Amino acid sequence: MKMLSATLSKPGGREVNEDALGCLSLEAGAGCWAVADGQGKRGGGDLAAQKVVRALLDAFAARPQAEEETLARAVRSAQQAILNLQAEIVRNQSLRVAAAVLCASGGGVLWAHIGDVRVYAFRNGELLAQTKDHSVPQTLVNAGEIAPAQIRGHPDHHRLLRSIGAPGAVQPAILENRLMLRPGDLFLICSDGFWRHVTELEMLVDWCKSASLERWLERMEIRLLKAAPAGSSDCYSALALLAEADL
Amino acid sequence: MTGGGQVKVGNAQYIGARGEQQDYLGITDEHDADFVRHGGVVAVVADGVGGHAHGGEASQVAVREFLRAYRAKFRGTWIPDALYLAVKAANHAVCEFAESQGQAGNCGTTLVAAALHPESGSLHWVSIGDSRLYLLRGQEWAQLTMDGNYASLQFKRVARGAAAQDVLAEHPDHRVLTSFIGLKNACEIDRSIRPFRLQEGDWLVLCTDGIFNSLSAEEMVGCLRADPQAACEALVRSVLAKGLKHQDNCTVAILGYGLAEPPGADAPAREEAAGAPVKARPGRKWLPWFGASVMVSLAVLLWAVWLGNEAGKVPKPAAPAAFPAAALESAAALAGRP
Repeated sequence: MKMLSATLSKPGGREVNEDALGCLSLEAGAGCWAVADGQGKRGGGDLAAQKVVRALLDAFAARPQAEEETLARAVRSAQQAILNLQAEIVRNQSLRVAAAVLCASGGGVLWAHIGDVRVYAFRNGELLAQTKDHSVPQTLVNAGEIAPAQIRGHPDHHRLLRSIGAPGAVQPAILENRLMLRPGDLFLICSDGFWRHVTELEMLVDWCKSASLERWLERMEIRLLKAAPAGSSDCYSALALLAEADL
Repeated sequence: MTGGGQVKVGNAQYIGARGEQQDYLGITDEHDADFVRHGGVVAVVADGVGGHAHGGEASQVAVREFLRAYRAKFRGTWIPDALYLAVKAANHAVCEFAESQGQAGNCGTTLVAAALHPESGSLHWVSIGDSRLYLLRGQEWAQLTMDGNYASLQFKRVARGAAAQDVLAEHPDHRVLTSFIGLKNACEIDRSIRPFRLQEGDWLVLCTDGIFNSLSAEEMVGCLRADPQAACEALVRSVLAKGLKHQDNCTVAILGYGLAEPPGADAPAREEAAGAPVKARPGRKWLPWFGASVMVSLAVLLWAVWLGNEAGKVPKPAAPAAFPAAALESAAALAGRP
């Protein structure tokens, strides 16, 4: 099984794109794909996001196995990279990064996330799985106080409960069991600037119309552009993956 | 995948402030089990292009030819292929009609069609122009089609990095169509190429711009109650209630998949609307639907006259004297319903 990929990352209405993404494809279908969304009160969010993506991909390259330990180590490595950045380079303790990483090996995938960068998995035209944000609105959903659909547009959507760069031990959420890939499995890793304007239903609709991952991302970006008035949107990034059988 | 849900249909039209109804619609017979098994239930809505010649005839020619071609599909033909071929056939027919009128290149119509295949619980659609297909799932409302107009072109250019975001600012040209049925050269067709998995309780709404330019998404969703026929009538009533001075023709068709029976529902509302149960003739099963549609339109028109007299806002529609007396009776009876 191999993975096809396509990416999209733009600053939206911002001057600087504080999102970053990266892809690492190795032999025998192994690979790692990451999206990070940085923020810093005095700038540096862009650099922080790039550092996180680099740390995640490097950790997988050192041990290319889609295993829990690989992902836990990768996130710890990203945390250390941001702590170093805060202390030594930008001298900015407020730097935080939300991120998600998906890795594949041996015909299976595993993913981890921290914050509100999401991973969606689709199979046979239906949503198979999605990550739950580490955010205030998601907590309200868990408590039954608001519906999942109300996360979008919630006034506290930006208040994260977990992130890379926060003091103390970093706590990613890692998928419990590897998902064994089937041809046609579709994944989307995206920052909140993207998923806030494109619903899961619209993701499914647009895939039905798209001959390629690139066209899929383009259709969803057009929805985003329509929903977010010019200049008002956050940075947005999305990484699309499609499992394809080896010939 | 959810499969096997029942399909319920509805439709309604209103002429608006225009002198002619240039919208047209058709729905295949959902009771034709043999055809539904491989072709599903298909609804098609068309809106003659304003400012061009023979818009009303163009939408009629397009819908008729589309349904004729679709109904001729082979059992083994994949639904998206059949829809595509039907659109091509409709385009060819409208181009020929335009040529016969000496209006080549100056006659056209939008067209949106949805094919709901109940056995597999899947949906396919095709669209040219700016008539739309929407889906309501639970509380979630999604537009499935992308308008074939200048605005969409600009959004595409921005997404591809070929233009800056400021081209997206409101502009009168944005509603100008970039694709429609009646263009000889192949134009852009917005269509599904994979099945969309339906869930029981899904509503599919096909409509012309006379509906969605007059009603907000919330207002449209608010009308989708009870059964599809009642919902279509509620949509048109909502448009009427706006009393817009330049109200365009409006047309809506709804396909409901696995909808729960509304409380107290004994008989399909559309049969009431048509005044008689639908009995379709082989190969022309869209015609009774048009009949039903005309009657619903008449009912709405009469209601509009009443509303116009009451509120003094709604423009008086075209004189109904051109319609058969029997139809008027049915329509009058319908207009008297609450």
